[in-house]
Amino acid sequence: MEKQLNINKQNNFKVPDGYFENLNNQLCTLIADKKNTNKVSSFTIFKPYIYTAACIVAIAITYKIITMSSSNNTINNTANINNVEQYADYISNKYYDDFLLFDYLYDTDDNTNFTDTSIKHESNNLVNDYYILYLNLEYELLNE
Amino acid sequence: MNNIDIELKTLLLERKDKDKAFKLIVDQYSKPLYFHIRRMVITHEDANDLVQETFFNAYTKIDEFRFESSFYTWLYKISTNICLNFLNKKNRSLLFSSYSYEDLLKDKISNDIYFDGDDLQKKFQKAILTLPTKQRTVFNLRYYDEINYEDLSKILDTSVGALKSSYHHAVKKIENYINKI
Repeated sequence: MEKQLNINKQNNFKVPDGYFENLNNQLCTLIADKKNTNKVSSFTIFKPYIYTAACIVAIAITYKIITMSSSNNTINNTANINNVEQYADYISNKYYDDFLLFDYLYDTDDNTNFTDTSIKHESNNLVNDYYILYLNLEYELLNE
Repeated sequence: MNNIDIELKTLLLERKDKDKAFKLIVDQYSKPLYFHIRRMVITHEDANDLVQETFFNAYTKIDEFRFESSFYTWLYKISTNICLNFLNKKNRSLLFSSYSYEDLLKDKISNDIYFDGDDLQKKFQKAILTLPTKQRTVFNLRYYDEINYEDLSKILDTSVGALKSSYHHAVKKIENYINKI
């Protein structure tokens, strides 16, 4: 290669005076600094866990607040019920779209066309005695 | 395994004296590694940063070294990877430019106060900068550091045949460049 190009294989790159003498110290300082930095940064390892825990606590508190407010609503709703008729209205409104309740009512009287979905349960005179009895029992249990 | 490797092995595996081993590594390899990096990145400032990064990486990973290969090939591999990453990053930043980072380095050679070569030496360095980065690495390591092809193969994870071919083509390209101008 040298013969081909007729160029001396010399190093023309220079360094500032005393560079290599100081490089050892520079490297030792750098490593000491990085070690210290790494010690501090080890705390950052826990950051994600801390944030995750904070999120879980926040979600738990939010859930607790929501469930408390909804249970308060339930108490208020039941507190306004004073007699069987009101409770029947409450149940009918609550389970207006309930398929099982509709089926139950349908089974009680085969002569009545309960398949008509326009029927309003709260105004229906065909609620049979068993249903009234069931509501009575449930109402009593609720007020015990 | 050379004498330095034997001493390092004793210090690291038997005496567990990492700091003393590291001082030995710096004393022994700082100059050749610095100039290997310098020839790749040209400026002293960049070379200084990268040589520090190289030794820091070596210090942090030294416990993983099992002396199954020579220590200097391991160090050269670290420094070469750092250089290639640095140059790739620089070239990516110039992705939409009409010139490459190596073109900028050619200008820097002309104005570098820490380069004292004559016109022919400057031309030679510029010719080397025309080579693709990997080929430039092969050329520098073989031509300046005189690393044999077997060790080069370990440093660059390339077959000996491919390295020989790459070096041969690099020489031809440099020769053409110098004769053309």
